[in-house]
Amino acid sequence: MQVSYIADAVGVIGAIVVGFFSLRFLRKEWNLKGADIGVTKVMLTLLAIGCVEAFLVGLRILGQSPLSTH
Amino acid sequence: MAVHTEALEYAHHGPMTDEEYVEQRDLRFLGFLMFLFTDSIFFTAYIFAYLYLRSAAPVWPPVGIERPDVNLGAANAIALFGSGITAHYAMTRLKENRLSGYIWFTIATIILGILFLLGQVYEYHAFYHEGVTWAGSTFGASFFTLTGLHGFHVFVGVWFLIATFAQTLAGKYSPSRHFGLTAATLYWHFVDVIWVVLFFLFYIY
Repeated sequence: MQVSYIADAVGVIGAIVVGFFSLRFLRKEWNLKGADIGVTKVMLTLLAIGCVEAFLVGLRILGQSPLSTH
Repeated sequence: MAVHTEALEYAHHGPMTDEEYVEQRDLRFLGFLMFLFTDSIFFTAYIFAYLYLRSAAPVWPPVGIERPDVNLGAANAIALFGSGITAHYAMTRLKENRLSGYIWFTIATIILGILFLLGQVYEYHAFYHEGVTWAGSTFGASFFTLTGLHGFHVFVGVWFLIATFAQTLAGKYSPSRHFGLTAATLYWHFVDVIWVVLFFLFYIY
């Protein structure tokens, strides 16, 4: 098996797991108040977006583009 | 002068009362937030420099240079994103006064952070063998500067986590008083979030 396929599998499975937990934490903290909680909510949201990126890369939907020209 | 007097008063009173602690914690939090804000401006400046170089080039990456391996990059990114989750778990466990949970999740966070750094070293090594260097091209310069800067932040973050871990084991933090841990966790989340942006710019876009 090629290394890239292992990396894809790690990317997809990891993104699902990490994305699930980041959304779970976000849901738990949604109604809590406090400045540090607010910053954490923003960070967890961006982390979930990162998981979507990694998931789409793992599925080879993103990141396979050729050289960009202007 | 006022600060000096306050410091003396705290020294005179001995351990801080809950009100004094909350006041101190809020001030420290504001200072830490300002630090994160200035750090994000620092990254933003470099990111815009990269976007300028990229838009000015007729072809990107320049001819003869291959894009970074996006699949390995994604796996490496997941190690860092996963460490954000374990760091959050560790923080939650300490707030619940479950020290063993805190210890295991912090160790997992540190290991994942080190794995990410090793992945970066592997990638730099691969690039170096392909002839991509800092001084060789605008791509190399921007890639090594931004990812290197981020890698340095991860390195500092790992030491930040180790320091707060040692302080926790020494009994410095409690479920009600743990600002140092909050700062370390927020810093780690910040490092994660910066990588979300860099991963998109260098590997996907």
